[in-house]
Amino acid sequence: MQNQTEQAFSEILEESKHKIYRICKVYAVSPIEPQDLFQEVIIQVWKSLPTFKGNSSISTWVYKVALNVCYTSKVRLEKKNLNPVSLESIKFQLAEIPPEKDQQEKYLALRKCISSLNEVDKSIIVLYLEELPYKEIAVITGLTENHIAVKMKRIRKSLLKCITKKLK
Amino acid sequence: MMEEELKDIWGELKDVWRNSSQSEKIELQMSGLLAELKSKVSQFEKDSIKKDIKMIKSSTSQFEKDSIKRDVTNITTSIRKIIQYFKKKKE
Repeated sequence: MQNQTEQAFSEILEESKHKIYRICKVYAVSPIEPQDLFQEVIIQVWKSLPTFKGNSSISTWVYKVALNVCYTSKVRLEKKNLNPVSLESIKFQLAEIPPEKDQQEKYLALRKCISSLNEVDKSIIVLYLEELPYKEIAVITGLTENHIAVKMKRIRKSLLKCITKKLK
Repeated sequence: MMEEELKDIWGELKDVWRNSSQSEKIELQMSGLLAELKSKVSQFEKDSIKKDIKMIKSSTSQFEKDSIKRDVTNITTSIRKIIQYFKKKKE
């Protein structure tokens, strides 16, 4: 049983590490680094995996855990109740080929604009950018698909306005 | 803005988003990570329980302490009476 859990955990991590990290990068607020949040998410995935009931796909579940951890870390930081952990077996290295300047500028503008949204809108747009269908976004956020569709129209509009302004 | 144009913009933003995680490599040494998690998680849980106990202890008001003391005194008195009753009966 333990071996099965470990095997599943390894597979989930290899499959999801980049998407978890993308979310952490948006939610990390100084002094918390995205790497700190990433480790918090990994710990929570490990702790919660035995309770995963299969009510949703494992990918949806990972998104849910990641968003919850990122949100609660922010709250814990505000309450000065967050002591980031350090897992030595996770290493981050800069890629050999850095991203193009133009792409980097666009990403920074996108990230800044997402960060200015409220928590619900932030999680909806992050999941949209991850290309999740509204049905799955609904499962994760607890909102109805219709509500998400309505919200998405407004979020996309305001986000585009914000990004255009930043890139001018 | 035209529908098609918007579609293109969002398509590009999705690419920018997806590629953002490629700026860093994430290396996971899985066997080491599993060992770390096993030891750290149990320690977190112990620390968390300790913290909870400390919080419960500190949040117990004086009133509750007095109330518990009074209850203990009442129970002790009652037990003494019962013991005395049985002793007398035996005699």
